[in-house]
Amino acid sequence: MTAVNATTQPQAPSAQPMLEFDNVRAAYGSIEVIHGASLTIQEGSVFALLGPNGAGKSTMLKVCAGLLPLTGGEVRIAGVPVHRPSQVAVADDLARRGVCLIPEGKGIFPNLSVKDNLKMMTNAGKTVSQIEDVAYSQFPRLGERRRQMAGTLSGGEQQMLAMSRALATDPALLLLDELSMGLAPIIVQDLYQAVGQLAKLGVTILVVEQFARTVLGVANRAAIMVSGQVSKVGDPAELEHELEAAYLGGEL
Amino acid sequence: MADFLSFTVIGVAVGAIYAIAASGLVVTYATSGIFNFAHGAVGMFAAFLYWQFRWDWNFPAPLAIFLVIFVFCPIFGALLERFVMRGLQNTMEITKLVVPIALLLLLTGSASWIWGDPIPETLRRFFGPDKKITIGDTFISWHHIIVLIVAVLMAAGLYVVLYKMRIGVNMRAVVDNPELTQLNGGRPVLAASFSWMIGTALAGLAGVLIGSLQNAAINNLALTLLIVDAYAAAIFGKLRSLTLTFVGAIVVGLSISYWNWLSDTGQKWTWLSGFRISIPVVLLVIVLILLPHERLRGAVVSRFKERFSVPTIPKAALWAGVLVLFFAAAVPIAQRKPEALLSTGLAFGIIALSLVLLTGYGGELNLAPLTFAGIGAVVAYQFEVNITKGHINESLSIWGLLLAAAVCALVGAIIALPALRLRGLYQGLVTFGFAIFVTNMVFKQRRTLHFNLPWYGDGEDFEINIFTGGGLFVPRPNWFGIDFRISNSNYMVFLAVVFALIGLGLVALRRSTYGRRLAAMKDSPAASATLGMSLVKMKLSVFALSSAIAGVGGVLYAAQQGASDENSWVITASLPLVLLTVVAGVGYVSGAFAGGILTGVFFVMLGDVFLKLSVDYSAFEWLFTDVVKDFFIFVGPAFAAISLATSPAGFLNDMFDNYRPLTSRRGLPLLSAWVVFQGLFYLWRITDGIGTWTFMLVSLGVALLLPAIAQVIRPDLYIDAKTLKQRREELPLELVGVDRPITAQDVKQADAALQLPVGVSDNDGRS
Ligand SMILES: Nc1ncnc2c1ncn2[C@@H]1O[C@H](COP(=O)(O)OP(=O)(O)O)[C@@H](O)[C@H]1O
Ligand SMILES: [Mg+2]
Repeated sequence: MTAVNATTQPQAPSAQPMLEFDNVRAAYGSIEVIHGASLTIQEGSVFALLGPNGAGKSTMLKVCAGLLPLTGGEVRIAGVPVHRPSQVAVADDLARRGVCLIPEGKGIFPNLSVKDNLKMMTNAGKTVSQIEDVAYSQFPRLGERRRQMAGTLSGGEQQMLAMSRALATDPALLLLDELSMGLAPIIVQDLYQAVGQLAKLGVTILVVEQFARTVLGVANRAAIMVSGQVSKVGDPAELEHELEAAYLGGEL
Repeated sequence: MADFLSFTVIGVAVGAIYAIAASGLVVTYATSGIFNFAHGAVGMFAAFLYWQFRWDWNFPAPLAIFLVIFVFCPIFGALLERFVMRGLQNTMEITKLVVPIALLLLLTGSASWIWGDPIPETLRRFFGPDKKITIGDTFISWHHIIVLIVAVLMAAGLYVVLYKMRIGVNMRAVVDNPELTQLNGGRPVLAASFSWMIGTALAGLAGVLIGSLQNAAINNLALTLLIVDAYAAAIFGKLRSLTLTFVGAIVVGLSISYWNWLSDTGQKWTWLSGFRISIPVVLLVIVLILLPHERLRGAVVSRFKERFSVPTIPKAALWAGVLVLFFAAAVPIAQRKPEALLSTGLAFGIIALSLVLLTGYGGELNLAPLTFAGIGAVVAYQFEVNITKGHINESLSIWGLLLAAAVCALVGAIIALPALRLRGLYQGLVTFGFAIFVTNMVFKQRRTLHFNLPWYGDGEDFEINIFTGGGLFVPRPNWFGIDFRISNSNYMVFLAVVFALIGLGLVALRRSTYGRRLAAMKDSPAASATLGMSLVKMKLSVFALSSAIAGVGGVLYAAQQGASDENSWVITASLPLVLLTVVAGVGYVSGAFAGGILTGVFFVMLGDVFLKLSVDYSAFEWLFTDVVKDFFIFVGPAFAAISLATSPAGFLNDMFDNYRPLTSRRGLPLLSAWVVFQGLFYLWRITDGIGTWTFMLVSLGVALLLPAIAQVIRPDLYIDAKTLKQRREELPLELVGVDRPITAQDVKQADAALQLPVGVSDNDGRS
């Protein structure tokens, strides 16, 4: 299934760029960590951004979700610039317009109940019951624990709760940051199954992972990021070997 | 039994008001991390506004309440969040502490400015003072019933807002994780704004309820402190849990009420009459001491980091000499009033020196230096009255002064005990509570206490009558053959000498081993503990020594005033001194001087200038006196603090920076020229060639313009100075990133310091 997608998607006549990073530069304070990165992600595709720790993958997602201002270049979603350089973050507006970032590790509010966590998702426009329906049917274990503080859930359940936002808020662009981190393979499988469902619905998805193997089943295109720059774009299976080199060498 | 019931109802009602106030505090603290010291003052202001609408303009009560609680308070809260609190998000912890305190002073000052001071107005109970219902033989006033109903409604409303409505879920989410809130599409700014609107509305509600409950004249400071009583409840809820806050509030209310019952509303044990109003602060301190340590750690921790070198002892001695010379030179030309003001300023400066040691050098916090000063004054006074059997006309004995210092040192060490395990906000609250306790129990003590001590006197009782007449008379000294009682000028110079000596002593202390340990303790308590220093000993000694200095300052201040009353030593008098000293630079002796002069002289003088203007331009008298002058006196200090609190090292140092090049070798000719000019000009004034005003204005103008003049004549001095200044502003590496963001420059410097080859950690190296 994925193999077919990988070859047909780019040539599909309806395909146009959903997300473009155009020579993007970004910094924390005055330390620049993204040094002019460019990427194009077609509408309806699942794109994997791979790379070692500290490469700047999470930062790319933050920039795209409006949590971090740019210091140079441009990010366009459906052709519209997200923010001009040095403009303040606009994450709440983007979230309401259908950009959904599930950040790495801390995608939930630990001191809010499961239900209140779901209620927070209503900020993006859906009603509580709509969201609860989707979340509890996809992850029944959440339904059993709806009154529990989210911080007391197991790691896998927390990630399910975080993923519920992706499933329930009907996003146009989904950004997933290291969904698999610290989780048992069986749970990772579950989560990526949900990602696959969204992909089938035509949601454009950008997944960040450290290892290519995790996303082989879902992604139809991939890029490697090293030291704040995109070093290679191509087929996920091809890139697996390149990635090993990147890890071993540390540099380009 | 009937008594018990009605006291219980009253206690619960008062507790309910505290619950309202405290939950407002918790809501704002939880969402912004800022402890709103001004919460009580907001409530006070709302109560005055309510009085204005309801009793001065005779609006119907519901309209008045609506205007205050649902219009004024939310708008004020939103503005507060937008223009003050939002800007505090990424500032140093000390600024977060100081700015709300300045706001407190601004509000109490504004209330005095608008409604007059001290003209308290009567705020009557709802439905009148005598409307009550009877259950069996228990009377309950309607006001109490209303209070209870309102509190229950408020609790229910707050529950619905926070737990049922989306905005409430958003508010709690922001506390957990602001970024994720945004990713969910929530608006943190809106949530913050909303929580400040709720917080101020609750403060206002509490203010109106408790203000009217008094059914008496409302005094702005007293009312502010009444709401401050709710702080104990908020701390009991660890500034987070609303349920525990409610429990704490009811406990506080019941404690007060049952104490009233036991003590026959203060008829019994009259010397303990001040205890009733002290109960909340006593509970506050107990809760602070007993609360598990870890719970407090995540909260505001304030550290005063030192970034500048301490002057060498010869340099400090030079400055000490200049200071004394300055005041000696002022003697022939200053008139009575400025002399008195300058003396007051100097005495405040001596008290502020205690803050330089404690806060500037040691990193500990004391919001109530004047309380220790007051204790010193009381001890000296008692010594004169009881030991030397002296009268007002006799002179201050050195033994009295030393005893005052010793007693203050002891009290300071005792206060240090709870402060041992607390820092920042919580330490500030302990000293705050202590100040209120001492004011109620000691400074307002009107009873004469008799003790029959076998070794004392000829069988007479040893009497302690602290403020029987409402006043305290401490005589001035008559030492070294100079009588400071007759001549104000002499006393002013004497104070300058004392200030210079203590200041010099502090610099020497800071340069000693003890001082270096103190600095180490301030920068990293944990690290210095691992180095084998006894933190307990250090903290106790620095508190004791600093309190002794405050005590000495207090004795000299009381002696300067002649007679002083309890109002000289209250917390609201301490706060401006603390603020202005911090603002001027609490790490420096010069900061204490400026803090003292600003508190004692500057704003009063400004007021006087406008008074003079109002005489000269009598058509605008109303403008100059009622508006502008009062404004400076009441509101000025707070404004100064709010606007200046952003200069963390103190504005004085920024100012001094411009003069520094003049003291270099190459700048010396210019400096000497100025000294000669000033000397000649002074001679001209002495020989009555010119008047005092001209002399003052021209001297001040030239002194202020000196750096600008120097920059034109000798620009080369300033080119060096710039690089010098930059070098001095370099933070120790470990503080980079804590105090300001890391820059590329820092990375290069770190590389150099670690002797890494260029570009190893340079992110830009590749592109
Ligand atoms: N909040 C932050 N403040 C400062 N530097 C950061 C912050 N977050 C990440 N960095 C730095 O930015 C670089 C890229 O980080 P990140 O985007 O999280 O990498 P990745 O997700 O690829 O592991 C790293 O060098 C990291 O140390
Ligand atoms: Mg990452």
